[in-house]
Amino acid sequence: MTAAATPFGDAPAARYGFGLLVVLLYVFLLAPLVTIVGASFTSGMLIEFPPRGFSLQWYGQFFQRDNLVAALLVSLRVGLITAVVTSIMAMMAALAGQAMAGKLGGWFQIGMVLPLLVPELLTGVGLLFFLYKIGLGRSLLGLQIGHILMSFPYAYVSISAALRQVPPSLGEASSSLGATGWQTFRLVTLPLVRPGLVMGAIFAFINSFDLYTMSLLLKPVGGTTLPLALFDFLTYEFKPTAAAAATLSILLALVGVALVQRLVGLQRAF
Amino acid sequence: MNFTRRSFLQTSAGLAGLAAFDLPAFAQSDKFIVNMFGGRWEDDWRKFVMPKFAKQIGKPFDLDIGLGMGWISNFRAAGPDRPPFPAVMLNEKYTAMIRNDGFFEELTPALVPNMADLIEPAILKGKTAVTGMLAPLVLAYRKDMVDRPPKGWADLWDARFRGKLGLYKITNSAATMMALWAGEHFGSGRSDVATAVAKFKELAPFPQIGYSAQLTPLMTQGQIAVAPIDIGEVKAMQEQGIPVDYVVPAEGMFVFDHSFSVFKSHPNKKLGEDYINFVLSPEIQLWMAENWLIAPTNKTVKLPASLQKWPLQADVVSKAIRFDWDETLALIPKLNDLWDRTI
Repeated sequence: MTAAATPFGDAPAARYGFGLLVVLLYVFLLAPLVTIVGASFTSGMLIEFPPRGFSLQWYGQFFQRDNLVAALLVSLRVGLITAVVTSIMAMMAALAGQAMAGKLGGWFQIGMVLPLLVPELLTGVGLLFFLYKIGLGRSLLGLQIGHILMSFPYAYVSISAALRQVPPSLGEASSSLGATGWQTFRLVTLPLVRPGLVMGAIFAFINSFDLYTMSLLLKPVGGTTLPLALFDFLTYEFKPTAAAAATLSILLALVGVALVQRLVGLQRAF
Repeated sequence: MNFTRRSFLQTSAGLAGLAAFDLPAFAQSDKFIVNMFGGRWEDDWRKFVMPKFAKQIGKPFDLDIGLGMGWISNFRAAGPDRPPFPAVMLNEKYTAMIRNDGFFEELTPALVPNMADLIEPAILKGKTAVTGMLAPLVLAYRKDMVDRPPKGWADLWDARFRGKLGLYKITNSAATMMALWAGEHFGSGRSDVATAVAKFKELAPFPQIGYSAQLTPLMTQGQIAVAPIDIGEVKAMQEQGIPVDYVVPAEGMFVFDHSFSVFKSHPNKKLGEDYINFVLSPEIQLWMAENWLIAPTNKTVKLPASLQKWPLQADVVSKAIRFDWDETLALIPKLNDLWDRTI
């Protein structure tokens, strides 16, 4: 087996240099994760790395803190609903965007990703005032609306990119063979767009699960999300319980990756 | 089994249905809801304090956990006519932000009988709030890292502590209080923010931490040797065997006023008044002193012998350095801006 050439050439120095760059990149990306996962297993009383001994006590502490578990459940529920609702809305928007030609289509695309362009804090404050106006201030539905708004662009970008890969001729062929619009969508377009749809849903879920500023402003009275609960916890108790909660969140992300692999395969999704 | 498009859609719809089912409708909750800080504050309040009040009023309760700025943003968005809960606890800095905006009811002993027994500094401006939790801020130091302990705030500028200090971000009210004190001590007065910032610049670099509990790990690990810390944190470190002690600064200690107010437009404001009366009661004030080292603001509380070594007595906390937060808020934008650009 021969090694592939690096972007810098095939010379040994280029190979070693490229290898080193890749290793550094992985260290940069993974070091925070390794640190927090390691710290969650400490038998000491503080978040520290390397951990002092090995213990699962902080996982036990996490599950004994009803407030943290309740926050985790709120985050999961909101994230799940966000993923499903956002995917459906983004699918419809992507289809609409594809049907629009010229400048209108361009403006439509920009409009769909606006929540990414406007600072989250400003969107959150604006939404907060609006939600109070319509009687949804500090309700779970208000929080859900905020999360859907902020997660929508991720799903839209993913789905519309997948949709652009579908040759228009397939839809035309389907129509010419007598399929209705719905049948064409269901039997032709949807299977081809599925990798983008799944990725969009997962991005939306992860984005929702991690949202902080929006949740801080819109969280329901008496309820909270995991990132907020962790911040509140860390403000007054710098204990590895937070590291255990973070590790569980990382585990959830890995479950998401496994789900992508199971549904569409990682190669097709990226 | 193959996971098909159909099964994916069915599963998604099913999960969405499950997730949507039985969602708690907090906004319409008939629970008695009040706010509280997170971490051990929430844990203890939920387990040991609120059940007693819930029993008293015959209603279940819940807590709204957060921090000052998040609550203030929401109160402002909701407006004075639609407060989210009947009573609120805020750091005095945040109470002052909305004190004059018509949110709060004027509190009197007729509405809150335990007010009659409060120390004088606990009744805050315009009687719109009372201090229910008074957290002293002292100078803590590592006994094994400091030969001669500091005696007061001014000692922070002594060369022997250079590189060993832990302080706060300027967004924390402890840093604000320290800066105003430095302006007064070294400069022309509390509004002399230029002198204050220049003096703290002399101490740099030092870790700037958001909250008192976040200084604790640094002191525990010996990364810092001297810091202004909530005495509750000092006690927690001592109980873990960390060689830590503290001094009440010669110039006077600072205090965090956690003040309680009633929203005058809330339909259940009577419950809010009862709640504040409950918090100010000798029983709860003593419980907070014993468990959190919070100084009682109710004069009738008799501190047990085990607490006498801590600076919780009414005469001691009455001498703490106090600030007019209305005036302080006017200085904060200039102070924070200069601090951020300088240190």
